[in-house]
Amino acid sequence: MHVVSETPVCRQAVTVNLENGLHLRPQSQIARLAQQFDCDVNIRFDDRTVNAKSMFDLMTLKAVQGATLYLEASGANAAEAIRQLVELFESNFEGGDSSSP
Amino acid sequence: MKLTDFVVADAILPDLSVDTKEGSIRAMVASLKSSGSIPAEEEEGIVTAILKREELGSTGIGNGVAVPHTKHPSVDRLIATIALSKDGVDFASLDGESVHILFLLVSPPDRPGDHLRGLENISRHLRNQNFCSFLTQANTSKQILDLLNEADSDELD
Repeated sequence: MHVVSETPVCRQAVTVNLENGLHLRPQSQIARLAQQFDCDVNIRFDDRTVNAKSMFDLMTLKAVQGATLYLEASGANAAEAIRQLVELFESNFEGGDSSSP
Repeated sequence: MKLTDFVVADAILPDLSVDTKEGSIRAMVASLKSSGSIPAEEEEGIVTAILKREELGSTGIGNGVAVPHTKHPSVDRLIATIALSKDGVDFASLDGESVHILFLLVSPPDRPGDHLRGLENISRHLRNQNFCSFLTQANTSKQILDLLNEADSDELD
């Protein structure tokens, strides 16, 4: 049998639905959540891929409202990491997008 | 967008003498006021707004860096100042470490894109080891300003 890859890779597209775009507070929520997982978690946007566990990486995204991001995880619990990140986007960051960026 | 487009040269504080979050924010906003970048009567309102934002979650983003910020109608473009602290400021940062480099940003309420571009610009340079190490070694506003100009011209890679 030919095994292509033993590392499970999960991908999911999400949309930024925040008036201020993906600003510092949602970025820190993403980093904090991603850091709870051992797997690699990346976000792809505009031909760039950044490490979702690094604030300094996330801050370079400049993703405004309406942007489509691709979440990618590989390794242990990759599917669960993606599921929880998608949930964070769908909850609109727990309603955390007030007027303060 | 370049660092020198929005960092107010006359408001840079190369040697912050306070060690608390509120003290550092007050000193940086006062410096923006002294430089004429914000109206004196708005100083307290801006400090209050930045402190309120900090209550929602620290802007101490780790690696000794904090980026306190707020939107405020008293500015018509993104402005920022930089402060350095040799001893470190307790900022309740994400990684629990004290903060030595602070970028404080004030942006107009209707320009979220400019705010994101400012943060992107700052983080892009802070990912450069040379920029971080030269910045923490700077002792004067002039040295910091020279460094910003070098970073803007991509002379640090």
